[in-house]
Formats: sequence, C-alpha cells, structure tokens
Amino acid sequence: MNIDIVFTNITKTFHTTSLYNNLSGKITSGSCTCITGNNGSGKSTFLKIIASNVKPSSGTISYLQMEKEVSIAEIRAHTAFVMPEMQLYDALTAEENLKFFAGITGIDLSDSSIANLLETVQLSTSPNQQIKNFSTGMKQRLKLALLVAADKSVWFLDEPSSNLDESGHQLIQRLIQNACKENRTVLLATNDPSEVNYADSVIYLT
Amino acid sequence: MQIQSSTLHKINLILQKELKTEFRSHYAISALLMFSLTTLSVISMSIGNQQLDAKFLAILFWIILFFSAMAGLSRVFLQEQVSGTIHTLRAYGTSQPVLFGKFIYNFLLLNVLTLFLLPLFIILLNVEIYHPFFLLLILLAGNAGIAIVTTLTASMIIYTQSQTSLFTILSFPIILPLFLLCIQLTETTFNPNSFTMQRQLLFVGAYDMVLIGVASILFDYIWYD
Repeated sequence: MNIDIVFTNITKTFHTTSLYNNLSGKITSGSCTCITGNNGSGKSTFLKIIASNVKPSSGTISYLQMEKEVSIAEIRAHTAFVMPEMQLYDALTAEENLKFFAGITGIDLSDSSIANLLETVQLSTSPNQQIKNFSTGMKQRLKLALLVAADKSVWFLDEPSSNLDESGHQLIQRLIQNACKENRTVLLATNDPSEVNYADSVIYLT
Repeated sequence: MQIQSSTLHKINLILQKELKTEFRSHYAISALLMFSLTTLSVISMSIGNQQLDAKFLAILFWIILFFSAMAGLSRVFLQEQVSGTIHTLRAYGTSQPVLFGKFIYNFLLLNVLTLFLLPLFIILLNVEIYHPFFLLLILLAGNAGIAIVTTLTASMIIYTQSQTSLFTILSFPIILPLFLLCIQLTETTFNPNSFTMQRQLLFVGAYDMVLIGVASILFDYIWYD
C-alpha cells in the first residue's frame, strides 16, 4: 500500500513549553525519513504525532493513498512500530509472542517462519523459555522480529538501536536498507549519527 | 505465511493469550478466589447456624460475586497497562477482537469463580436450590452482563489516576439494573414456594445484548482515539 503522510501546521505544547510551532511537510511513500535533534526536542512525540498515537496541540495529519484520504483505523492496518514503551508478554515465549502479535494482524506464522525470523534478528532462545528472563537487548531484537513479521508498509521506529550491541546496530542498518528496497516508508527517530545516514530526508528538531 | 483475517480467529488468539498468561501468572484468578473466599467465610462465621430467608441469601450471593468481580476483572486491561503491553496490543490489534477476546476471558473467569463460590455458599450457608437449571441460566446471564461491563470499564480507566475506585464507580450504575433483576430471580430458585420468572430472565438476556452492542460501538472510539 503506497501511503503519503502530510502534516500541516503541527504545533505541540506541554503546559507552557512549546516543542515546535507550525511544522508542515510531506513524507512520501517508500522514503526513509529521519527525525533527529537534541534530547528533549520532541523527536519521539513528533513520531507519535505522525503515527496518530498522540494528538498535536494544533495542526492536522493526513494519510493519502492515490491522493485519497485514508482513516486512522485503516492506516493502523498498514503500520508497524518499534518504540521503547512497547513491551511484549513476559509470561510468553519468544515464539508465542511472535505468533500472537502476527496472528492478530492477520498473519499466521509457521514454525519455520518463526525460526527464520529469530535467525534474522540473531536471537537464539531455548524452547519454552519465557521472555521474562531475556535481557533488554534480546527483547529489542524480538520487537524487531515482530516488525519484520508484521510485514507492514509503514514503519515507525523510535530509537530502534537502543540497548543493542554492535551487531544489533548492523542489524538495524540491514533492516532499514531492505525496507527501502522493498518500497516501505520508514520514519526513524534517532540520535545516532550513523542512522541519520540511511535517510533520504532528515527532519531536525531544535 | 498464510493470511488469516477472520475476526473469530483473532478473538480466539486474544482469548488463548489471556488464558496462557493467566495460567502462568495467576494475576486475576487468585484475587477473585481469595476475595470471595474471605468474604464468604466472614459472612458464614458471623451468621452461625441461623437460617436466612431466600431474598437475603440471594442478595448476599450477588454482592459477593459483584465485589469479587470488582477486585479482579479490571486486570484484563490494567495488567496490560502496567506491563506496557497495551501499546503493542494497540499497535497490532484491532478493536473488536480485543474487546470480545477479553470479554469472553472475563466471562470464563467469572464462571470459574461461580463454580468455586456456589458449592461453598450452599454448604456454609445451608442453602437449598429448588430450580437448579433456572439458577444456571441466571448465573450465565448475570455473569455475561458483569463481564461485558467490567471489560469496557477497565479499558476506559487505564489512563486515569484512581483506577480501582473509578472502575467500581463507573461499573456500578450500569450493572445495577442487571444486579437487581438477578437477585430477584435467584431468590425464586432458593424458595420452594416460588415459580420461575422466565420473562425477567429474558429481560436479563436482552439487557446483556444491549450492553454487548453498546460496548462494541464504544470500544472503537476508546481503542482508536
């Protein structure tokens, strides 16, 4: 699904502090856009506003498919997220988490697909091991496996390489490069200068 | 990868996930069973050998069931919020399977509680049941109503400050008509000289249907806004 995201006059204010005023622009389908800036500049909030997870103080977000507007409920069916606050079920195993979340998006994962996904994100687990004993980095890799499994056309990634080691950073790079080749739209909020290099365009928040 | 988009399949996935996590963590069932057990024990000890009339027994039974439900059923969404899984569920799940998966789970949980509570209630308070099949229908209809209201209310309070008190305050007025009818109907099953009131039972069933319909419409706004 080719979706263009148009944001117009976005303003976000927390109490009396204004994060940004009247931001406007267009994120075209199949592009990789990086949102960067100093700590506290509102990168994550801006990403959530674009994803319609947070309402702006003023301004509008439109999702356009062939110039026709699509509803938020429809757009949700085509978006996947990796965000720090998104957690997986500790009482389930890695396989069960993947099968469950992919299942509720309408994808039935076979055992071999799950094994491939875990291999892609370089996560080795023993069967029946609940993820409550996973490290934060292992959980982050599992979130990335879910991102790939969900097979959505728009990716919202907030600090995807947080808690990951060097091989994890390379994994993010590969995933984003593959996503661009597959014509997915990627929005990435990051402070990592190496990740900014993958982007077609950069939104710098001050 | 095989595409399966049926809502029923997704409801089943949510239900299986709830059962699996509950089976492994015992978050809700322990709260429900402990609350009902302690309340019933206190009532039983304070009453002693005294024989209570049918109406009073029916009131006691539904009060225990209602407050046990208040103690445990909100966890269906609160636990998701505390652990942060609500964000992932919202990102990947659609509204109706989440609502109905969690509703069926709460309904099953209430029925397990009833299965645990009823025999103890009969033994400890020396209750005789004269219309067991009718009582079964009342319990199923009453539990369905409580389950849908608590599921919807729990989804509404997860981002508020005083979650537990708000949960009871919001649920109570919606459950009240159902609660009063169920008490009236249950009384007839504890009384040898009464007749079953099928029409009132049909009204409870109709009220459940209205609640389910309203919850289904409202939940879309809660989930996507």
